[in-house]
Amino acid sequence: MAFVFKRLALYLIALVVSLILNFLLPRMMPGDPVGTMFARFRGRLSPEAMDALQQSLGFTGESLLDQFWSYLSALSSGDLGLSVAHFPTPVTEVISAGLWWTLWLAGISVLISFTLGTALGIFIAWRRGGVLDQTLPPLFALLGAFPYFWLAMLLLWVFGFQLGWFPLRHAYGDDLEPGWTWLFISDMFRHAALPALSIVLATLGGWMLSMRNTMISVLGEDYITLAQAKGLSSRQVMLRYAARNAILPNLTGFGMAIGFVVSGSLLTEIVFSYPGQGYLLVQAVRAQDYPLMQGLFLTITLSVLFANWLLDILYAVLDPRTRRST
Amino acid sequence: MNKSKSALLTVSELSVGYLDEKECSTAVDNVSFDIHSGELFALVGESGCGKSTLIGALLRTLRPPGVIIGGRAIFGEVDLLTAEEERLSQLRWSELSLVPQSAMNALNPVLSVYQQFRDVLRANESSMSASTMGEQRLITTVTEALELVELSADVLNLYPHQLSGGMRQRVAIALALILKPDLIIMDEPTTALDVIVQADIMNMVIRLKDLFGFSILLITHDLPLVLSLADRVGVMRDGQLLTIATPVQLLTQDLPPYIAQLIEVSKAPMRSNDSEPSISPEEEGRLLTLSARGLVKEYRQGGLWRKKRKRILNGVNLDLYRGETLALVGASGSGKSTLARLLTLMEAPTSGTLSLGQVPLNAHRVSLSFRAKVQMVFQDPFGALNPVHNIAYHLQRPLKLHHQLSDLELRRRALELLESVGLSPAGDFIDRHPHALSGGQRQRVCIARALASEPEVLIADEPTSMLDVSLREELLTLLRGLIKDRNLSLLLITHDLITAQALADRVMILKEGMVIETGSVSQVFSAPQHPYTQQLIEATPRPPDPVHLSTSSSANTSII
Amino acid sequence: MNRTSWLLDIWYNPKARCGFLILGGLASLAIFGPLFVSDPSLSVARPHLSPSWTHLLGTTGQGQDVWAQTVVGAGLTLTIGFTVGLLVTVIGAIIGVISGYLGGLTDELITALVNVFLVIPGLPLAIILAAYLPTGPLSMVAILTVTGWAWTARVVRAQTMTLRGKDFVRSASLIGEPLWRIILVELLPHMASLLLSTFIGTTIYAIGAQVGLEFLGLGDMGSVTWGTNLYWAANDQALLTRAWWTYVPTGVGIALVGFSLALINFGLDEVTNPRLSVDRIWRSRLHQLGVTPTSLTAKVELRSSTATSNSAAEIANKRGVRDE
Repeated sequence: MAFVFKRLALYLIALVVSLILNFLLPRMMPGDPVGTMFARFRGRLSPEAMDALQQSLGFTGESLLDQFWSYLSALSSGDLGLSVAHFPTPVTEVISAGLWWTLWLAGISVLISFTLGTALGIFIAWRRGGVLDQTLPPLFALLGAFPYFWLAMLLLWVFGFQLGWFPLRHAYGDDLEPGWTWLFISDMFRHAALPALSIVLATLGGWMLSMRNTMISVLGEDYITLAQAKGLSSRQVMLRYAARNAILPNLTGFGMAIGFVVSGSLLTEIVFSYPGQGYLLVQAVRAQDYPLMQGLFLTITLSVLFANWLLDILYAVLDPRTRRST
Repeated sequence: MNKSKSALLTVSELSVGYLDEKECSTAVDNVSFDIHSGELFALVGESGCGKSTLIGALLRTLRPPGVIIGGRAIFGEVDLLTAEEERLSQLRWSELSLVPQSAMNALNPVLSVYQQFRDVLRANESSMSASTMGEQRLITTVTEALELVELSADVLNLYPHQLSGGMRQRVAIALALILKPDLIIMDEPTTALDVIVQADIMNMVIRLKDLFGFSILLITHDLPLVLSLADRVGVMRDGQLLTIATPVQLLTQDLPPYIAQLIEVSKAPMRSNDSEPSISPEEEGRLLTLSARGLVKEYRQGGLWRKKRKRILNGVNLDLYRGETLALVGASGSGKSTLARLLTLMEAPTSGTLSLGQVPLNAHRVSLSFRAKVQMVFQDPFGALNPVHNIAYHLQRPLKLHHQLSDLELRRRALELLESVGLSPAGDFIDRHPHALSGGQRQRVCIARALASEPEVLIADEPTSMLDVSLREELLTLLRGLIKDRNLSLLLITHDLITAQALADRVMILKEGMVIETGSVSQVFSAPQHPYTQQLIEATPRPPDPVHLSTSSSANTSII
Repeated sequence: MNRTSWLLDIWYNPKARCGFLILGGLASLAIFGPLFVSDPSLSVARPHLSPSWTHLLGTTGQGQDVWAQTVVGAGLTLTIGFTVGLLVTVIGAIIGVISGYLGGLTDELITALVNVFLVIPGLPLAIILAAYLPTGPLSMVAILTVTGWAWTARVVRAQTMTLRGKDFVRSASLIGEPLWRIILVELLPHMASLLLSTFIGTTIYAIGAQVGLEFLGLGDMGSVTWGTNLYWAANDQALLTRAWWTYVPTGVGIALVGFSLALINFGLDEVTNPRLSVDRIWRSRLHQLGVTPTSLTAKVELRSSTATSNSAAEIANKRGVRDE
């Protein structure tokens, strides 16, 4: 378990670095973008709101260290300031409203994509040189070369506008009341289908290809030859001996790419007006809502770090070498 | 004469090739042999002779680009080369099993020892008398198999990375025995192991063979080992089976020159014992060159948080005198390579001092003149030359760094160096890249490079162990000539007592980071003091005395 | 394998060559195309005209010519993409080599920093950086470099550590070669293919991230790039008005660049790691010989007719198959 705790320390450092970045950026940036923002909002906001905003972005005349201290203490009580675009709702509240939708959409797409891609990778590596092995990688490389949100636009146009098979926007029908009803949940799936499909199509190839390549090098190992000579069924050799080892480096790669995929899914949300973090993000950018942007950055970072830690635990379970050192 | 015995495996006219984009090249060429029940048949050959390819074909685990291009391998009534997968899987392991080349990589790293046994037992349940075994019976069966190879039941729940090399090899042997097969193929079963462990394991294998009566096909490059163990020996070269004979016949009969040479090399030390320097160097008042006092080296393990220290060297003293050859003998893991890195100032010792002549040395400030005076030859001639540079570059760089020479002079000196290591005519070699040279030629280039700066001390780390047996003698002769001509001090690092005996004046035995015995070659080899040294000398395989052999096993004398 | 031969081999690899040709075509379009099209930011016709002979790819919601926008947009997008690719490769290589070669405390600190940058998600970080920095191509390059260098540094460090243990590197320092020479003359030639492949990977990342940021509205919305094209297409309700021609050409352009780079990387993989394609060659050769293998161990009766009698040792050497 030492491995898992060591990694946890890394994530804590990463978190501290993000906090410091988050704190310093509005205070250090050239050209005073925040000042421009204040100028824009002057007259539209009440004086108290302006004060609150200035406080959270560091226009108080206090020393940096004092500011950092109050920033941390505010943060520890869950206070990320007030959103400008959704004034006067606190940023925490705005974000938490969209958080679950993002976790749901990104989570399900990433899981489907990784599982399916890995399974395909195992299969084409086992039948290497075969028809699928020669056609699938270039096909998915082409699909993966499109921006996620562009694929989303295309899918939306074809299956939403032209064919009318799927809803065009939002996470569930406007006429439905959220709840654990069959109607609601099936509607949720219908709304998630196209955005999830676009993410899966764009990312599947990457997992498939890296799994194929690690599988092929694992298949050259002596323990595979021995497993075959031992008379084990090819199914067992493929899964328990080859894939079981090949998946390990891919889990590490998965952890590293997860941040990128989640970011991509944010852009997809925008196309479908899906009410998650991505949609909030574009609103924040358009309204120059700095507190909201920074809050989103922290939330996404935290989720990605947490996902990485879960993966580390999975890795430790799968690889005995991390459990006990010789 | 064993004609009456039926053959267990009959291989006839087997050819295996490699397909590439243009042609099919033969790696095993028309090989025929048979193995009788209860027999140990050994196939001996140097690297690249096609031994491993042959096993791949027999077990049908050959992988692209390999392809079987002809022949038959009748095992029982089945042709292994063409049998249906289904028929093959019935034979696999219950009648024909394998001890793979390096047990290091042959066990699945993510499964425990028990799980790997369990997979085999479950996969072959149908072929065993008991149809479905309960978990408890499985554990008993596996424990019994482990006892046979002298391992306790504790290893059941360990993972491969927690076992030592010798233990892994024992597990691999137990795995091969578990279904009591008729034939076990052993592919270099002890190559990666120390001589002592190797001797233990081979003795154990012979005992088990006599106990259970299985046959063994032993594939190896180690002729001395085979001569004392095998019933019959096949010698392979360049994909062809040159001869099949009993050890006695190999040792006593007139043989083709290649085989005769192989046997000659393995037989005895090559040194002519006329110049036996049995007097201790101090008495002669010879000059001390490289010397070390109380060298300790520890490595930190773990990252920033948890620090553990592992002590590799534990207070080593070493004196190298001008013109002498000192052999440093130790098993893998004894710390001999670490010592070489400290002596060449590639790394700094944790504590202890080093000096050259009378000048103290500091690994953090290495002078160019030290680099000129102490040079090294590495074990692997394939790795020691950067493949992007040609031979001229490799030789001219040290010349340029240590002697101010014109370009023309540089080339002339490089050519001289090549001639001096026997690469003649040097003009044919100097502009080639390393990949265009053979292993032996590369090692000569490495020696030439080490000599370029005209050093006083040469450290050679297993300089011949990666070379084929037939090349070793030539290279050792060359080294001997060079140190004599140039009055060099040589520190020869080796695990091989025969090489040490052949080349050195004095010997130092290193075990677990400590020097346990030092003395002249004759002292140490004739009257070893430390029990470990005695073990080491006993375990070193040497060809047996033919007279002794022929009386002990006169039954096996068939020649093809 | 001769270390210099892969550069030639890659040109003879069909996948890589295909990639080079597509990329070459797009690059010449980006360089010379702007000379032949009208000003992309001018309103030249009614908005959302569908493709016709006068406007090959129709017009945008602002009445601009889509073909002109696509061609001109390629220039800045590709320039930024390749610049970032180059910068990241150089910076990552320097940091990776230093960290991997020197080892010790320097290495531990750099590795910690690299790991931190690897786990902080790149795009959100890029977004807040872009929100605060002044817009413009230089900011874009800076942002993408800051968020992209860690991966290259990590890969190069790993490769350096492997190489550092090689005997030829040790012998170089044993004969007294200075550190800079060891790194430049002994190590770097062995990293060329790795650096090329990370350069390609980073360029793909840089183009994708740049387009993503601009699509969000971060960046210089006044300039014509592939990202701003998509931003305006979405802003002008391209989907609702069913004006597919306003976003399809740009997307295809981005995909072609990414695809061609991925093809070059495939080819590079195949050339530097022959194991990946050995089975395909084997199968097609057996097929020529009239055999369809049912498993990966096949038997063909060839005999001496087609088999050449090279010495086995030579073959094994050529293939990198070692018996011991």
